[in-house]
Amino acid sequence: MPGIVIVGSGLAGYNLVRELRRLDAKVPITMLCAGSGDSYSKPMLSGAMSHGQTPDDLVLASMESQAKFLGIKIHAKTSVDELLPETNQLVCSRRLKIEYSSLVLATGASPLQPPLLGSATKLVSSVNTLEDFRRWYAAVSVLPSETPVVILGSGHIAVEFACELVAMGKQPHIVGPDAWPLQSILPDQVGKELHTGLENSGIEFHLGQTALRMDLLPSAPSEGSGLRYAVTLSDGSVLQAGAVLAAIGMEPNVELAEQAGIATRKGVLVNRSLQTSLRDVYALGDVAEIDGLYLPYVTPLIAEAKVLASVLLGQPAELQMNRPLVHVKCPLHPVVACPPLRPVKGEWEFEIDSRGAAAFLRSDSGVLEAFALTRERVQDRFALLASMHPVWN
Amino acid sequence: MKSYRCLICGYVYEEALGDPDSGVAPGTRWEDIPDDWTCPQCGVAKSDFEFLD
Repeated sequence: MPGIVIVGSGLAGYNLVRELRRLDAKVPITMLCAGSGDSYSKPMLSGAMSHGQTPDDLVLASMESQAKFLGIKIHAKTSVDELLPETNQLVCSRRLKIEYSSLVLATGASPLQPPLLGSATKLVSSVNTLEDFRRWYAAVSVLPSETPVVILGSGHIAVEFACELVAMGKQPHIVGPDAWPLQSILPDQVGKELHTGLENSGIEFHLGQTALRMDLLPSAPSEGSGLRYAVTLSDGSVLQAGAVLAAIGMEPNVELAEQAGIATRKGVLVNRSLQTSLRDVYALGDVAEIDGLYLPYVTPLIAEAKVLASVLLGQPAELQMNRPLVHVKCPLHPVVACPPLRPVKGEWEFEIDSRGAAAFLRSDSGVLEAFALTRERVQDRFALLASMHPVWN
Repeated sequence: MKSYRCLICGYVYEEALGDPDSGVAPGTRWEDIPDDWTCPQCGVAKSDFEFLD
């Protein structure tokens, strides 16, 4: 009996294993992962430095201890090259062939790479894995105080890293084409209130811009300045920086699914039982689009893992959950959003005062479909959430 | 009063503040929070928290 095979050792993969083991101590489970297999939490990668945590501090458990404690086989540093659905096999690196009864794709998403010209484009950082964080930590730790750091992108991850850089005494510059930060989840008046608040807290913004070039500075402008790069923006201005972080968005790692002919769109398409278009293949976490919804957050992932564990062990189950809240780790200007899940016919209403900014989107029938809150008003989030329908009616 | 941190998202539970939105009154000690309580920020269980200070 080949058993359950899981590709990916992130929060999705390991939470699925935990939920499986809660229900069944014996079913054979094999995990394949490209990295070390050490478990860590990706949400913790932003903010860790400002809390004085090192990369080693972020390892929750080593691969070896996970394998032992969970009673599973883990093939780490193993890439999956091909999926052969006709024979229920995976062809992996190092000439490994793995057979499965059920296959779970938990491969997550990878950062989009910005299209840059110049002599330093290979030196753009991104922080998606613990290994990325090790490099980022090393690069930022040695920067003198007030060194500019350019962040490409103005969304969730960009804002979190910018806040952290302020806390660490560096000078973040956010560069992006949008009109206000978190534009994909905040309506205009809240986004602009956030923009002003973050500017007042020390983040410099270059919005309505993209970065065109990243070049090495010929030599450090002055001894010990920490400056290494020149980033040229679309308006022609040049920012000198000690580090450059790309945070322009993520794309789900769907290559394996695509190669095997599994239906994908932005992510791997699954139904509410997390099943793909292939009977024995499932997906969860940041790689999956569930019933057409892409929800790359922890709370949905936990619910998905519980449902999928049940399904894999022969107990049919369907995902249901409350609307996910998007918490942005932004201590300089607290913000939380519950963005619309599907297109809504209605207008945003705003309340902005000394408590912060609030926006509410009600459908024509008066039902609250989305909201956004800043500063003290974030305290209202749970009461508002309780008044909303769950994700599926 | 003590604090506990969620290992997954970093949310800090402070005993002095409780988690009133989930029915956990201010002053509730960690041991007295029901076992089915979950992190209000990310949804993981008590077992994914660590003692902070």
